Amino acid sequence: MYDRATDKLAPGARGDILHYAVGFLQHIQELYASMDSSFNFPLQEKITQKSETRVNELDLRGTPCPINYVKTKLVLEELEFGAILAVLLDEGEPIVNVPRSLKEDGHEISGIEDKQGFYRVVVKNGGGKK
Amino acid sequence: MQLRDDQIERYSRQLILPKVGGKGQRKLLAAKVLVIGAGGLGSPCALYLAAAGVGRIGIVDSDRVELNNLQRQILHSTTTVGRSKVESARLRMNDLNGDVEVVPYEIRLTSENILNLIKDYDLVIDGSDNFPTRYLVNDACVMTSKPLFHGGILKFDGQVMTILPAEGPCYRCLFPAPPPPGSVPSCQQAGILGAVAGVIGTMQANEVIKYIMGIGNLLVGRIMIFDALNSSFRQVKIPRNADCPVCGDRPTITELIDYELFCSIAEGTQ
Repeated sequence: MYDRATDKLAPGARGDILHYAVGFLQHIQELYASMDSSFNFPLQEKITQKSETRVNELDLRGTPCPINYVKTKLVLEELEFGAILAVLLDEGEPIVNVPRSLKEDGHEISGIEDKQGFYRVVVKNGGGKK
Repeated sequence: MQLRDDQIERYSRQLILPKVGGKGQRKLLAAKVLVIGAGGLGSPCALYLAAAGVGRIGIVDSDRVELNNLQRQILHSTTTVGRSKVESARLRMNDLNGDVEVVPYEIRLTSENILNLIKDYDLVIDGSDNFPTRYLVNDACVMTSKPLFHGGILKFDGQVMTILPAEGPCYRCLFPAPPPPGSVPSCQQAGILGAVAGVIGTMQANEVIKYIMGIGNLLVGRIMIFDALNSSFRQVKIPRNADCPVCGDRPTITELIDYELFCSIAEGTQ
C-alpha cells in the first residue's frame, strides 16, 4: 500500500513524505516516552525540555532572531559531531536567517519541512564536542 | 553550567561569534581576574570585563574619587566623588552586570600583601599610575607565573603588552629598572587625554578576554604603541632578555622590592 501510494511521486517528494513519517513516528515515541507512571502526559513545556535533551528537538517558535540561532548553536555545541537536531522555527525572519547562519557555521541542513505556520528544520551537527 | 535565558540574551552578540559560543562564555563566567587600579586604565578594562561576564573581578585601589578623575575614569560618577574608588567601581560594575562578583580591595599594594592578593586570581591587569607599583606587580607576577596584562599611558600616547611569564618577555626585559624619581612626569603633572586611557584599557580587556577564551594571538613578545595625535598603532617586537634581572637566566632580583620607599628616601636626600 505504501509502495503504491509513493510510486507515483517524484523521488524528492517521496523522500519528504518518508522524512515526515519518520518525524511523526519519533514524535509519537517521544510522547509515549514522556508519559508518567499513571500514563498521563506532562505539560507542553516539560515535553519541550525533555525533547531538547533526549531526542534533540528544539522548539523555538516564538523565539526571535538572533536568540533562536544562539539557542540552536548552544545545543549543537553539546551534541556529538554528526548528531541530528530538529529545530522548530517561525516563518518570516527566523526561517530565512537561522538555517543560513547554521550553514555558515559548518552545519548541514538536511531538511526543511513546512508545517503550516512554522517550519521543522533538521540539522546535522558539523561541529559539536571536541 | 547551563546558561540561563537572561544570560543567553545578555551575551547573545558574543555567543554568536564562531570562536566564542557557550564554551567561551562559560570560561569567562568561571574566570577570576584582578585589576590593579580603578583609574583611567582600570575603568574601561573593568567595565568591558564585567560586561562580557567575567565571573569574579577583584579591584585594588586605595584612593577616593576626585572630580578631576571623571574626565577619564569612567567607572566613577559625579555622585560618587568623595567615596572610595573600589566601592564606586563595585556599584557601577554590579549595576552593569549582576553576574559578576566584584571584590573591592581598598589597600595600597606592597611587597607584603601582593602575593597573598594575586594568588586567588587567574591573571592580573596592571592599570597602575606609578612605577613602584608597576615593577612590584611585574616582579610578583613573574615570580608566581601569573599572566600579566600591562598598559601604560601618558599625554597622547599609550602602550599595551601581554606578559606570560616563562613564555615571553616581562616588563623588566624591556625596562630593567624604574627611571630615577622625578625623571618621568606622571599623568598628574603631564596630563592625559581621557580617550587614550579608553583605547589602552580597552585593549587590555580585549587581551584578557582572548586569553581566557584561548583564542587569537596575544601581545606576547611584542608591544603595541598607540599615538593618538597621529591616530596610529605601531608594533615593536621584544625578545625575552636572557639578562633580565627578574625573568632572565640568572635573576638578580629574587625578592619583591618596594621602590616607593626607596624613591622617597632618594627624593628626601636630593
